[in-house]
Amino acid sequence: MYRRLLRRIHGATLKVDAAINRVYPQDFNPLYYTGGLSNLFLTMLVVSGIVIWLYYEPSLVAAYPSVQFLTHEVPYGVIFRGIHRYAADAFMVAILLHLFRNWFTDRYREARDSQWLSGMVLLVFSGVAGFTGYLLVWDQRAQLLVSMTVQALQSVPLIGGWLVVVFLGGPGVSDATIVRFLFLHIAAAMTLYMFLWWHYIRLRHPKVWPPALWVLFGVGVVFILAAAIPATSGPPAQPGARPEGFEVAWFYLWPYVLARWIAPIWALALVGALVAYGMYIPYSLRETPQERGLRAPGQAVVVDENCTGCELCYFDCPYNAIYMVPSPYPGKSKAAANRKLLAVVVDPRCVECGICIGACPFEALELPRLLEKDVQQQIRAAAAAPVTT
Amino acid sequence: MGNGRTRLYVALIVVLSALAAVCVGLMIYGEWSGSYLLSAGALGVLLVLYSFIILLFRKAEITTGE
Repeated sequence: MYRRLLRRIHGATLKVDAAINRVYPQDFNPLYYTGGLSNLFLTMLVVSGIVIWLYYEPSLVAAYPSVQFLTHEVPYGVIFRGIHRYAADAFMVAILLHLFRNWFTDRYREARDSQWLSGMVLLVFSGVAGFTGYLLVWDQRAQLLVSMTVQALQSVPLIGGWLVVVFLGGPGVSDATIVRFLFLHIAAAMTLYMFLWWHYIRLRHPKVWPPALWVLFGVGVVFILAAAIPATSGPPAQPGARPEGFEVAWFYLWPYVLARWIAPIWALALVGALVAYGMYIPYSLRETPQERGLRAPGQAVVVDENCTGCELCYFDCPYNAIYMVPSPYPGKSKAAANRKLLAVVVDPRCVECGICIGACPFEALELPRLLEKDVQQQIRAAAAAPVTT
Repeated sequence: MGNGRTRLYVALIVVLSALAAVCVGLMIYGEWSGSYLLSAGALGVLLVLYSFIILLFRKAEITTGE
């Protein structure tokens, strides 16, 4: 049932791709650059965040007025704040598109689990950075979010009290709380770059940046939104106030919206369960080599005697699964006799795609369960077979 | 660049370029009058127009994907 559903969604995703390719040239298809678009919006967040940080004062008394000062007194301050606000939304949209696209096009299983898991960690830290961003404004919405979070954390058995102290930076809300939120906000954003390194490390040619068309469009739309719907704060937080509602910000605050109907602890538990399921997704459809059939031709093997050390496979492998090492001895074939390097396959990274087989002109790589000579023989047999109508 | 579709793309590029010039004017006016929202909004529209111009350049085969 689940597999059939995934197959259907896979087909629908490819149809969407094809429809977009009819409007845009193929190398401009935005769905091919959802990761790059995420990077674009993250860069906008960092740049606008640095400007906002220059004016921000992390204390209970000064946080709200400093944000108001930036918004109303600093030239283009309202725009920088708006860019930070809308780039954050665009960032989350791009991340979710990236996640669903890779899920629905089957690019998360086997050797690709590393990218998927690092992506889930990136999603969690993006959520933390986004959530703490709402707290830093220190208006009544932030106050309400803090009280709901404290309520949820207090309900955690055994360690609830300790979690509250960690979250608030002390037993109650104080200047240290705002400093804690600022630290969590900036640290989560910086951590994103660390995990991006993990996200990219196994990809030879990651598309880290979208084409100029989408850079201009993305930046332009964020500027338009920042100017047309300026980001504003609610009423300032007040000690002892019990604010009732807040403006819905679905991308980052959806668990708090749910908490209108269920206890905050259950909303928190739901977030935890979704993250845990997300981590499990790459392993939910593990198939045996028999089930995978032709899709499991075995990890590539270097035919030592034929390898010339030309590096074509090394450059073509998209998964960084081939390394070149100094050749300890010459190859046996005429072309390989004077080689300086030798290709080595890193098994855990090989996805058995066969790209290296196509890249190698010297028959120095093979997929053990799908030998090149067997494939050629099958092609010849098929070509020689009588055509039936 | 002989066919009708290409001519249509080129005409659109000219129109969008003219609109982009208007946006530049609005940016300067916004800066001069202290209307920062107008300046930034005009800059946003300008960037979006440029993105469409890039697309039309490609559609008209004035640029290639290479």
